[in-house]
Amino acid sequence: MAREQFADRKAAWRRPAWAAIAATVLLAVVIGQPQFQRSSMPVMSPRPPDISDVLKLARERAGESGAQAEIDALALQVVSLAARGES
Amino acid sequence: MKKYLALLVLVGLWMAGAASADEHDVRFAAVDIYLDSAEPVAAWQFELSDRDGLMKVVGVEQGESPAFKRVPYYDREAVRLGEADRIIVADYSLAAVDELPSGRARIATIHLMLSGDDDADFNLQLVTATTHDGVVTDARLSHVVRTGSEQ
Repeated sequence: MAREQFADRKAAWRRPAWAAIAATVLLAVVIGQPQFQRSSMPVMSPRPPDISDVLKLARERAGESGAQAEIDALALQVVSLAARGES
Repeated sequence: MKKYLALLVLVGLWMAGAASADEHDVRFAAVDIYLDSAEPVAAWQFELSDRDGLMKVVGVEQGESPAFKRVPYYDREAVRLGEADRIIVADYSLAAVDELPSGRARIATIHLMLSGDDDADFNLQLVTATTHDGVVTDARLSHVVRTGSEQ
């Protein structure tokens, strides 16, 4: 009788344990995907953006239609946020 | 009753005089900002403030280099609202290297309203100056204050 109860309890513990292992493996597989790799994430600049970042963008997008408005907006954002101490 | 009325008139006159004196303490100045660099500069950014908090920026004017033709970037909203007690000004140019300014060149003029009788104690800091390929170059800032009319 005692042996049967022990077997039942053992079986009851085994199911969640296997579920936890399966979930961990699944999570590891998902995190291992390239889109979740740290190297593929945009690299955050350690310093606040300044006009040199705007110059770089302006060089990259020189000649593109509509780019100037975006570059102007970024430049204004850089100086405004810096002036308000928010960058 | 006449006593109180006379006192009220005196207080009113004193307050009017004080307000008038405050208005007279306001004066205008233009600060020419010069950048000195051995290499041609394609982008620059600086910060101007006053250590005593006497200044309010009322306008920004471009410098003398044909490579930087337009008015530089600055917080226009803060200036428009009269809230700019410090300002960050920046500009870039995609002009050819031989058109970019080198040596000492006036890059901007900041128009200010100053309050109080004391001279402003300006704090001018270069945030960055870069060459056409984005490399930070060794440059120095200086300024010349031109005082305007008192109001």
